[in-house]
Amino acid sequence: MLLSALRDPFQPVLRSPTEAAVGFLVGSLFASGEQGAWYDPSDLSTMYQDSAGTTPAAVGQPVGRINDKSGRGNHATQATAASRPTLNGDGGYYSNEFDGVDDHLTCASGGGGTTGFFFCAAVRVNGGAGTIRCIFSDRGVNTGHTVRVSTTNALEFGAGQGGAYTLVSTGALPVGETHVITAWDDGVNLKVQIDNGAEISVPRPAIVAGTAGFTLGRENAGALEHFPGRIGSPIYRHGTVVDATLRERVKRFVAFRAGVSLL
Amino acid sequence: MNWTHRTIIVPNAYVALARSLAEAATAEAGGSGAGMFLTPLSATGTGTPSHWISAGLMWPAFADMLQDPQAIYTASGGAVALPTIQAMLNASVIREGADPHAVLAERGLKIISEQS
Repeated sequence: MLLSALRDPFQPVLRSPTEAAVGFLVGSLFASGEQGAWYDPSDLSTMYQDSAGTTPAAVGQPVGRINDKSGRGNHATQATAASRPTLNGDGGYYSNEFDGVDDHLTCASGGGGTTGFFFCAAVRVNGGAGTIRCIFSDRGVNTGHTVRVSTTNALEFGAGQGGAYTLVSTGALPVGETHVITAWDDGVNLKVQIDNGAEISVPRPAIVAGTAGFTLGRENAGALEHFPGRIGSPIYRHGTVVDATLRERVKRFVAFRAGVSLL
Repeated sequence: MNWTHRTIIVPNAYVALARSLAEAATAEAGGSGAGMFLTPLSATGTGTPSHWISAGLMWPAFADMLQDPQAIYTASGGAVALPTIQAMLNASVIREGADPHAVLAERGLKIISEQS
């Protein structure tokens, strides 16, 4: 990385080599007080083996806490030792690896949005075909949002309108490969996309707020739909719609972090 | 810390006991045995759970205690009779360092996952 990219007085101070490379400050997503979270498994200073945040995380060790870098304070934790994901650092790319049995991280705040939902992460599905595997959820009973892998390995994004759930899905996520997934509400449609593939849309319903918090790696409402695989650099926001330009910048950031080539 | 991996499957008849013992046994360590055995299992992956599972990295002292009825009895303050603890352990599956999905396949069990 050229130092000039970091020290050019005519450019904003860039926070990390990744942000310098893609020319985008992730924190700017939350500059107007938007609610959400940014978890960065490559930033070991934000991760801990215990939920209290006293023992720093290390590759191959459990993750009991990952701090939110968005400034909203939506830190995700797991107090049950056996239910903690493991920090994976394969090839120098960091992610939290969930076992698909009971691993999950929860946050008691930051959920419950009804407009502008946006979620982007680098994901690798390790298996579990034939079952629903939940990556993100602030879902209640036919309320809130879910981002998940379907029984046929399709990426699904759902939002509840109180009496039912509206789902949109893409083609299959190849098992054993890392891809960038994006799910968003543009104010008109619910949309999903894998890498730079086709954007799949359905008209958005009148969304009813889910729970006050959210869950990563499992369904929010209970011990179901556990996700077997890796989740890297999840970035989540709700409130105002994330426009196409900003969305592309986030995708490039997440892809760069995960070593994914967006084609 | 040197964590050690355990896969633990308990029959439905003992799951309430297993949950309370896990929580009580780690109370002094901050209670991170609380919340275990929440994932339901059955032979078909649907319907009423026949078993429950926890799998993951645990601290060695807790993991070793899980296989020692006397240690569990002592850690829980004698709240449950030793023969009951022994019966629970005898009916359960405890594996060290195994792939939990392989253990499930071996036991003919599947994770119950809501289809919605």
